[in-house]
Amino acid sequence: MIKALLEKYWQAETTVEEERVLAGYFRGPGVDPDLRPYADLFAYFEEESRVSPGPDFEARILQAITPVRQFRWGMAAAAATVLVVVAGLFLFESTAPTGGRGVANPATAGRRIAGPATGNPAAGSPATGNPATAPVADTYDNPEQALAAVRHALLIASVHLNEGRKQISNR
Amino acid sequence: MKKIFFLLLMSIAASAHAQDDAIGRFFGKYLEDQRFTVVSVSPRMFRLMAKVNWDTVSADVKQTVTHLQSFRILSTESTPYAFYKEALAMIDRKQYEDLIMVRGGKDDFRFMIRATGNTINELLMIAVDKDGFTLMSFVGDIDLDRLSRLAADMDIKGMENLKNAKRK
Repeated sequence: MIKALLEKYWQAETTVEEERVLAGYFRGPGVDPDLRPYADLFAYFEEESRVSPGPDFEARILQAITPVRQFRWGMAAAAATVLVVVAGLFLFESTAPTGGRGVANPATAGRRIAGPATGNPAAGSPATGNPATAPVADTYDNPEQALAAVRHALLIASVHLNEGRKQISNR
Repeated sequence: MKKIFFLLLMSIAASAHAQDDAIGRFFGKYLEDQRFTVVSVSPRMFRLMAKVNWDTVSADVKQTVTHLQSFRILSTESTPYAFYKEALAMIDRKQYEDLIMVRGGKDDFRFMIRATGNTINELLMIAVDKDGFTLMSFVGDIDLDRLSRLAADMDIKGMENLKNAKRK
């Protein structure tokens, strides 16, 4: 009877009721010596089935799956550094031109214009170039010289402009 | 996170650059270069010109100059074609549009403008021949017809001399 049930059990065809009978038999004292090895197995199943999650199970799972939002000091430091650098760049850019404007050091004057270019009628006087980062620094410190240079350049541009227009109208 | 900071930094750098016009960048690059001749006139200097004696200056010139804010010219005699190419490549085509382009093979020049509506805010002239490369920028309120009249008033021979004088 028990052996038949056990055979059925191995085939996984037993009902819940039959399994309970089997468990009861192996728990009991009169276990057939042939079947004794299985008693330990059933005892193990029984033992394992009694294991249940502890009271803090859910809390532990939740803790395990919740991303930890801890403050990252390294990231904050990186952000602060970037901000400081960027701010510095802006400040430097905006202050640099005003700092360097005006007449350049005479020692460096004329250094930039070298060779035959000094004979350029537009650059009649030695140019006092400004090495500052200002987008438009002054080459001349005298408005009359500056005007002369601008007039000269305007004429050149005008000549080219007319030449270009003429070519366009000829086409 | 790091990517965001990087992008932020790049966009800031890009916008700072965008404020710089093309010629400004070119100037910045070659301002200290010994091969280049640099002439620049600041807005401050243009204001100071009001004190200059304008009696001998024609009305068209005076009008043109008083509408200018700044002027820059950069020229070189060494490897003119290379610099011409570089300058053209550096110009932001979204900002500048072609006005006139004359290609004579070895002797090219072109005008580009930066305009808002019908007002020309900047006139850029880029010229090259075997003797040199010139980049010229006029910033201000530019009237092309008036500018064109400046040379038309003078005789052609004088203009030819002027053209030759520009690089020597």
